Amino acid sequence: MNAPQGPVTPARENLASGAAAPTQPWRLKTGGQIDRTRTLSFSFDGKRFAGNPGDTLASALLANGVRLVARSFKYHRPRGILSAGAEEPNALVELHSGARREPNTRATQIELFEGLEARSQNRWPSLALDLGAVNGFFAPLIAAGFYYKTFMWPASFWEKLYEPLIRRAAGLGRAPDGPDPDRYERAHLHCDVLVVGGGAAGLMAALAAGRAGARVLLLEEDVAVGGRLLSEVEEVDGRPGAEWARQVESELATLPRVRILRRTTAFALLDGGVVTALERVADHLPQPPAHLPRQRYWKIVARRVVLAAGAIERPVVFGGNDRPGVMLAGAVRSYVNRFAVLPGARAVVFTAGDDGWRSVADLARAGARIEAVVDARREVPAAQAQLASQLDARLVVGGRVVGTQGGRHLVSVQIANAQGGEEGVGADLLAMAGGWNPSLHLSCHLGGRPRWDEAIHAFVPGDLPAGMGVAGAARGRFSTHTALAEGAREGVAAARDCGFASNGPAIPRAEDAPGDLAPLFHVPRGHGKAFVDFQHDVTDKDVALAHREGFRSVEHLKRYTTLGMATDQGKTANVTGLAVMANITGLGIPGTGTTTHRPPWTPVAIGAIAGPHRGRHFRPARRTPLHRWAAANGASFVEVGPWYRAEWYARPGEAGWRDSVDREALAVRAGVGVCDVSTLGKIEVVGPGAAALLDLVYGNMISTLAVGRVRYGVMLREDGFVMDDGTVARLAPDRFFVTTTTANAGKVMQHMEFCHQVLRPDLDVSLLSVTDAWAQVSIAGPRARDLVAAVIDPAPDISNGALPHMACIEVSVAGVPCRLYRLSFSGELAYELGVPGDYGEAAMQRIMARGAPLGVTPYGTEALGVLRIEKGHPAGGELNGQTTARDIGLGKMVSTKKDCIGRRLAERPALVDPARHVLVGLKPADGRSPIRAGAHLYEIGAQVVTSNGQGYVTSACHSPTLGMPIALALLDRGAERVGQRIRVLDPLRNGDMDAEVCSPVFVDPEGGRTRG
Amino acid sequence: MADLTMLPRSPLAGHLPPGRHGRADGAPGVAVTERGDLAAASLALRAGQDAALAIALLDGFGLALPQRAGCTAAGALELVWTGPGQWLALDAGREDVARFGFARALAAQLGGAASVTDLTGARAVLRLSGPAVREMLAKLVPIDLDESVFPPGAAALTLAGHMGVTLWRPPTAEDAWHIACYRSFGESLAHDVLEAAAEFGCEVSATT
Repeated sequence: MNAPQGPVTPARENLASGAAAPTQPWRLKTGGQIDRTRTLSFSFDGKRFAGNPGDTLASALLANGVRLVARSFKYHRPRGILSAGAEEPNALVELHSGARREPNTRATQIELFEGLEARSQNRWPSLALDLGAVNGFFAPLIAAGFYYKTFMWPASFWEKLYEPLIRRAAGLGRAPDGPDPDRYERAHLHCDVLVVGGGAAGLMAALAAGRAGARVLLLEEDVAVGGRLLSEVEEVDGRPGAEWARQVESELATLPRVRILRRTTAFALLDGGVVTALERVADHLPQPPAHLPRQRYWKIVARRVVLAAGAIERPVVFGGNDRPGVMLAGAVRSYVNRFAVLPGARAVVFTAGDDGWRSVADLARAGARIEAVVDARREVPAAQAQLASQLDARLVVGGRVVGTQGGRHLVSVQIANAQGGEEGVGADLLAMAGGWNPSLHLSCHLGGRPRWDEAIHAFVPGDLPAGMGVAGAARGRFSTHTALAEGAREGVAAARDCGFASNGPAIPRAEDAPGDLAPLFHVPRGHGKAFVDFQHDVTDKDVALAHREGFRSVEHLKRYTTLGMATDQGKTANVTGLAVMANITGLGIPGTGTTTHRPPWTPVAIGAIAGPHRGRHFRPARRTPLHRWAAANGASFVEVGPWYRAEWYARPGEAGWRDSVDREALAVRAGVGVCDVSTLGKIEVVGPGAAALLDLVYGNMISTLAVGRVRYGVMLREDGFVMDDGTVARLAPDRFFVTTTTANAGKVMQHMEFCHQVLRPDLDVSLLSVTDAWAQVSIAGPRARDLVAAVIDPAPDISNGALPHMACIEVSVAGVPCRLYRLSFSGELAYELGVPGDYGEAAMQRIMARGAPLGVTPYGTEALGVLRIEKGHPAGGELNGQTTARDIGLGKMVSTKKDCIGRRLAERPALVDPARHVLVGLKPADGRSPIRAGAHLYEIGAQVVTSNGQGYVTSACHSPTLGMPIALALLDRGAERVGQRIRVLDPLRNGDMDAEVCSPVFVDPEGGRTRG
Repeated sequence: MADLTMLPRSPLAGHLPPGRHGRADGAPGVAVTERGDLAAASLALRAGQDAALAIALLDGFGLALPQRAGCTAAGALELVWTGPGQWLALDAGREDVARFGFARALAAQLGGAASVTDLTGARAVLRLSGPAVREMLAKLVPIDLDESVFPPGAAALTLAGHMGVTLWRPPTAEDAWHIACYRSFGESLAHDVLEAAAEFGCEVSATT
């Protein structure tokens, strides 16, 4: 006898929590796979405790006699530790504190580390005295679906009163307060054979495939491989199972093409053999070490998958089955054999078959007193009866547990014998062995339906997804020998499918007991609440209620009662819930329904899914070659798609952005300005078929363009609306340089590739994005020619005669080959100078130095916008996908002499309707009120209803040239209405004003400046 | 005026500070260098000119035309497959403005067999090496980097995060991996590379 006797009392808990060196009164002196040479200090609800390396938080709490660890979701019932794995529905705790606080973590999976801080959840003021437990008294009122019925009236109370109250009372943990301080990574792995689960079956599968030479990846959720071998007293090849597992692991480590990831959970099977897994890189440490992420999200591409994920023991539904001290029988063995903890001193074992007898033997060996064994079968094998008698344990054959007593912990168990007679037995531990459900979850993620297996009273994988094999307990084959043999078989098969033939390893000797089991899911008519779903507080009565009210399909049952919808995804509840329903319907389980599973197997932090793509690195950014120069010269930047563009260059003394923008725009109109236009899309279209392709994609005729000339082009979508605009420069007979808007660069490239590859593959032409090859600078203003002349190397004649508007030449700047295009977006004399990226910054410095005497002014996208609105050039606001070329004043650019994409559909009646909106200018009637883009246009005096809408404002700005706000708008029959007044209504922002309709070209309507 | 010459600035200048990054102890797992010295040009095959292009490249530059998802090298020259009928040609043997002669030389030699477009400075190119380079790259790109799948001489167009990249292993250098993206994405790629390599310790050396 090496553990203390007697039931846990509050006094014992106090003993363990004193200020003196903490002890572990329930720790076994020998055995287990913990490191007794070191202790780890941790806290639970602020009390200090000690554990050992190798412990989970759950085992360490049990070693310290802490058995009340949580309050339940709805009724705030005291809850303890039910399981020893991922299925845990009760022992959910908050881990860490502050921004690292993580709610709803399973104490059964948390590796203990020095300084671990955990707190219980969903209790107030404390775990021991939880006032929310009063909910238990109102249980009749808050059964399944209560909120649909109870809080119906008045309807307005739901959102403001009822829902917040219910949510607060039925809480899980609290989300952390601050942004997550940890890093997360995403990474990719490729393998021939992916083995999910490192128990007996998985180890053999990995060994078989690995020895055959396949690239193997073995994922183990736990810190150590071995699976149930770590928790059972049994031998493999004449050695303890855990030792055999370690030895296989060592051999796998020597195989160069085998990789093992421990602490890694495969949580989803996706299409194409992709499995996603979460590696808890640093969750077993107080915080991640420098340069390591907290968790890593693996995307694994596997040619074959061997699912060897084991099985989950299921609880039995009987009155009081949720009381702390009631535990799964397999978990009891885990705590005794693996963690060297005695979860109770006086035990009752309630079993439906042979399996529970293992717990009887292991508990007795560890020093617990077996008070009773309740075996639901009609008869038990002689050896088991003999064991009970040796242990002086009461054996109740054909019996049931019908109730439990205890406050915060189990003190006695109510047992009914086969004849129905009841008696109470004092106990602090009740182990229940109702059979095991295969962990077949991954086999369902692509829609596979499990199949009911009458022999083991459980679902087994049905039709498997392509490329998957299943071995061992995950297939419902529970003997160790079968697991080893099936693992080897599936490993050999998977490797063979990948081209690696082998005979497979010899199958080690191991137990091969068939494991007799009676179906035992539910003990009806017991005492007290009998829980089906522990985490969501769903009882057998809730299932019966759902049935009475017509929610009989499993899908309805689930949604009506919330069974299986908690964070544990019903790992211990789904099959049992179905069985309870089947008892009521009388149709049997397969006739009542099946349960299936969706990803993820266990919850995955959003941070892990986002990986490094957060904050500034949410997506990659694009910067022009002039970015650094602009930043150094006072630019602030605006994001345009992935690009950063300089929006204006603030100077000392400027009160706000308007000052900067007005100054920049006026400088262009009066002298010369420079603007970085490198972000505009640039495509080089080269080859004998280039002109023909461009004639197809552009509305206007491109093939007639002379070499050395530039044309403004408009591109239509298939449906006849405008897609994009830009310029086309002909650099050589078979070489064109095309520009697009910044926003549409990718789309236009894609469109042109489509047109070439699909519509005109006969054309010998290639398309190449050269956006990143050029630092492109717009030089605009009456002094632009002077500046260009000062910057480029001497020789070329750039006079108006030699280089007129819409012409281009090659030039050099300090010996660097550049291109000079004369084109204007601002309405001024303007050029674009293309400089190879590496020389962009140097060229800009040269422009600024040589332009200083001319007063050269850098201008940003805002001033660019002002200049083009003043000039009435359409841009993003007008190219909104709802405008035709005619609408925006480009109708003449769609040639009628040739066909082009979109031309036919642009001739649809509605698109050529003279009543359509067209581009107009607007000036405020009072000469000063700003007009807002997005405002709607109405006849003055007309009723404000949608059907009376006359159009809308597409772009607006303050015009420093005119000294008043101006706007561009799309107005029905706009051309006929120049000079009229219109109401500009912006109800969302309380804007209501009158404006005068005018030409969209506010500055230099004749265009003399551009061509000068 | 004094500014007669213009000094080039490579795409990653200032974004890859030379020295040790990430884990400080032990030998670096990853070594990173910007290849900012390259002349670059795109080759696009003209219809029916496959054989002519292959012969012209071999004759003029000693370069074999790499087949699908591959790369070749000859002296300072490299040729990387970047799509059906498209290649990226690189020349490490030219400096400064002399680099702009590369595309001209290619065009002169290849005649009508391929369309040549100068891409000097249009790509940010990194040279990666070291024992952990594969593990580091696995955090960036989704493709299989195993030696059996991606040996020296292999090339791929893939995605690093949300960035399109070209990844290749020059056939002549066992240990070196090259990754290229659009110049404008260079700073983001450099950040992601340093981040992914931090765990292994990363040595950045000056741009070559």
